[in-house]
Amino acid sequence: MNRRLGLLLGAAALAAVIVVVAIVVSQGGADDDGGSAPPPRVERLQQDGVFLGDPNAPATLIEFADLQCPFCADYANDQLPQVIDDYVRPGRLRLELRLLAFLGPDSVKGREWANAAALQDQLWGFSERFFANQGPENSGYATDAFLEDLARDTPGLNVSQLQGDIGSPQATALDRQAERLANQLGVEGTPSFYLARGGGTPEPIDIADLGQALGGG
Amino acid sequence: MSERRLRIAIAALALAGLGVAGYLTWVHYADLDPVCVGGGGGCERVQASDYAELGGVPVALLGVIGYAAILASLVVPGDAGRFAGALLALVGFGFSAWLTYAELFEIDAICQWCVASAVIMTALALLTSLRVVAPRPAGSGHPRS
Repeated sequence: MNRRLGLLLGAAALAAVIVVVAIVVSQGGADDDGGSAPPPRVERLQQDGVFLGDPNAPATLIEFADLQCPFCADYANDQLPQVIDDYVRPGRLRLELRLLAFLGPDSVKGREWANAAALQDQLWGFSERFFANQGPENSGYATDAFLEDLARDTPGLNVSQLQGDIGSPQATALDRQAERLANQLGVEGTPSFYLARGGGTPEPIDIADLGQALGGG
Repeated sequence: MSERRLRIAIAALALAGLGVAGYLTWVHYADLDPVCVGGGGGCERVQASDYAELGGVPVALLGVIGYAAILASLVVPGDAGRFAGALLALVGFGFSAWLTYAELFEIDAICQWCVASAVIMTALALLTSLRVVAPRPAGSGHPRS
């Protein structure tokens, strides 16, 4: 065989091996993470406590969610990225996440960590990772190790500070605010969505009607 | 195509690739959204996806390293340099093909910068392969002692 052609075939074979091994290794790592849906980069949007997006946006979408609720995870993983791209990133909508914890102990534990993350303006990044890695309801999966992994995976979150804030008056105040607001609005399940325009009274909305409510697009 | 022209073309493409990968690396670390012609958020979605990193290293940074190494292979004399250049470009081509597949069928978004890099890497794979099999210029071999 021509020596030069042999060299080229050797390079091609070696390249194929390198690419395949790297892809297999990296895909294995992705599976270990358990997150199949790529989360939107909420870190690139303005976060303030329970809010995501431009404070001057003409409307605010309030979501009531339980971190263990599978429908909430479906929304977070499948629909939220589009809502962010279409309405939040252009400054047309601000999001507000109010966490309830009625499904069980894993909900309570998850909310403690999430609301402590909110004190660092990282509620959205943390809760997105929780939803992407949500386990079977009330199986006890929301352990300190599980939650710490999520926190470490959330860019910009100081994990030791978060652990110190769990159960703090500021963090538990967010629990009470969410429950009070849910009672005022008559929330009956999760996820529940309410749209508030220009600081007006939040009105219940079917998330499928969001585009129409915001004037198309 | 002569050895000299091949080297010039490879150097030009590698520099263009360095520019593209360097820009994507910069926006990654500066936490900015890449400028995507026509909007649509494709670049942001690809950059924010699991595929934007390989083993914890940003793919864009791997691109910078790859293009720089292809450029460096041009100054390595003899078949070793030709083999290294072709190997690097073929690895880059393989990754580009995989990433393009991921954009089309997994992420459902296209990043124009990634497409540009894939096109450049494909051209580099062709030219560096051609350089391996092309006839050597007279006097380019190692002198017999």
